[in-house]
Amino acid sequence: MPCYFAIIGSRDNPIYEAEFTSPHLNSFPSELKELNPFILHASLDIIEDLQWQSNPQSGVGTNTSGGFLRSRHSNNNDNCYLSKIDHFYGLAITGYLSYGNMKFVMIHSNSAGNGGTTQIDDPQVRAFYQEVHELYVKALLNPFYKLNDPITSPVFDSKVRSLAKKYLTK
Amino acid sequence: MSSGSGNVQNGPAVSTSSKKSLRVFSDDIWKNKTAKINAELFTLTYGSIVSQLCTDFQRDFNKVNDQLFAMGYNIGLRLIEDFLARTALPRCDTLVKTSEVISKCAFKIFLNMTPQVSNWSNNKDVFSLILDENPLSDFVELPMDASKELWYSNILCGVLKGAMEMVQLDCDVWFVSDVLRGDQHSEIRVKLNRILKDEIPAGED
Amino acid sequence: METGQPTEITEQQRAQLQFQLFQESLPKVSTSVFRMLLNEMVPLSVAVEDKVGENPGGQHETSSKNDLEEAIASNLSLKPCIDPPSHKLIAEYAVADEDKRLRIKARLNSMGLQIGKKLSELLIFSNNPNLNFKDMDLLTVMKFICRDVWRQMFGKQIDNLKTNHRGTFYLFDYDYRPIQCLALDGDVSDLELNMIDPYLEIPCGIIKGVLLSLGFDAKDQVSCEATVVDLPDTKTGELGSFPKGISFNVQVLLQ
Repeated sequence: MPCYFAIIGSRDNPIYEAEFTSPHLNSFPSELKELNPFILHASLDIIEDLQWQSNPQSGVGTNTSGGFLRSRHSNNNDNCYLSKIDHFYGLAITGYLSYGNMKFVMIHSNSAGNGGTTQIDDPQVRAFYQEVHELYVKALLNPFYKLNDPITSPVFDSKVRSLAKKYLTK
Repeated sequence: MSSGSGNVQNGPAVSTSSKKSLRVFSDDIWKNKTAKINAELFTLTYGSIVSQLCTDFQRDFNKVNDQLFAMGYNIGLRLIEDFLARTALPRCDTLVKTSEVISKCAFKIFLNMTPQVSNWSNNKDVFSLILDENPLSDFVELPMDASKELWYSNILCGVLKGAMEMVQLDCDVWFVSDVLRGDQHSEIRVKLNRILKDEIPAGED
Repeated sequence: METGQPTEITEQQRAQLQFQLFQESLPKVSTSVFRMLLNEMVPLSVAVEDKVGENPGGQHETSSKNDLEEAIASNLSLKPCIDPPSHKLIAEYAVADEDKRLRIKARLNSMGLQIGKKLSELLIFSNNPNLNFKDMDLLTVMKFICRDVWRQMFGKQIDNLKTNHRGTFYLFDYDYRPIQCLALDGDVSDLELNMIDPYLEIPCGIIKGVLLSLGFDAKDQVSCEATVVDLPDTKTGELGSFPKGISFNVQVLLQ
């Protein structure tokens, strides 16, 4: 399915964005495409709320009582992965939050492009986020990259895109 | 922390004549006798130093190169003590042997890497170290203005220079290429100028 | 030795174990080169100060110049890009005037800050079982600094953490590793205390950077300074180790 992905900094500033499509997929309906940044921004508030909610980790053996929309699989990384957090006219929005308060968000569009509900494949999407997070941490190791600045590295971009191919748009 | 020489005294006699045994010997030190930390911390710390120098010298990258070299030199003067204490290796009688010890032992037990030794000059007084990996510069991307001037890992040249001087080898050490600049390899060139005889002895013998 | 091995381990212990295995699987370098690099930042900052220090003013250049020339003259190769040896640079710091010291300290603090800002994301990277979002209050962040940051950077944890629960924290390290190599005998003179001063700026910067990156990032919200304190009676310094402890005093303004 086509996706629009963005990393938002701790001051709600854009760090990185990319649209993932592939030849055999429909791209975003053009009327929605321009809205993508706005949709994402609207979801930031929801992420902020989720951030302070009870965590499935906090009670031993109570994996199923996780916070709102949290994934059931209580793996430590779910600390960060927020799964589906919002929807907008059939588009699904997922999120992931790093401790350094970087927000990773993505709009998933229904492959059919017919406005039907978009299903999220949690394991795949989670894996995508986790690997992008790892890439982000590597990007931090570059001393010429300043925290909260946009990431302009073509290497980073191409790595993120190949992760998208692997997990999202295959 | 282990205090070095005691650990290796009664190990198998170290024979630098056999390349294989040097490798096994160094692997053992790395695996069993070396306290380790995550390489990323090292990368991050070195990165903060380089970036601070770029600021301090207002992006005059030649000055940054010099400063990194100077810093490395001062480290090398002391690192050699640590190295000799840990390995108790005998003096090398040829530069060929020295190069083996540097690549297979020194780089191995400090940075867990083994650069290749190559490009010897005909009279065996100049060689290259080819770095296939380099924990100093992992994940680093040079900004445009630095990509032709900055030798990001220049500290390594300083360390080698300082350390070799302490064992009476007066060498020039410099980078000739770096993958960060888009080169095929990262290559450090080492040229022996002379063996110091009359200086104050620095170390054993 | 292990007799009473518990038959079942808790979820938390399993996570800890996993985390430890993950940590062990990461690429490594030798601790001693890392320490050396960290410590060399101090003489480096002095050397840089000698070169760019009075850039705006451009006035006095002092005794260090002689050392520098001496070092160059005695340099054995053709390339003159070496500095005075580290111990001379540190000694130079101890007798420098206040302004120069402040600039050197600011440089070290800034490097620490850069490390700290990125360190938290690196250390926490999603799978640290000691943390979760729910409890990410200031106290947890300080504990994270005392435990994880200190252990990774300095090979040990902070010995004691005190707080008034209103944003003031005292982190006591009775065996601050970077200065142990400066082991001095018995009493410490003021001059010697001056010499360890710059070594405390890097961790101050790191503490500040970590707090900044974890959301305490308003302007001047965090301040941190270090002071030398006496060792408690229970921690009589070993022979040859630095005879004083360090207290890192952190002040976080709560909004």
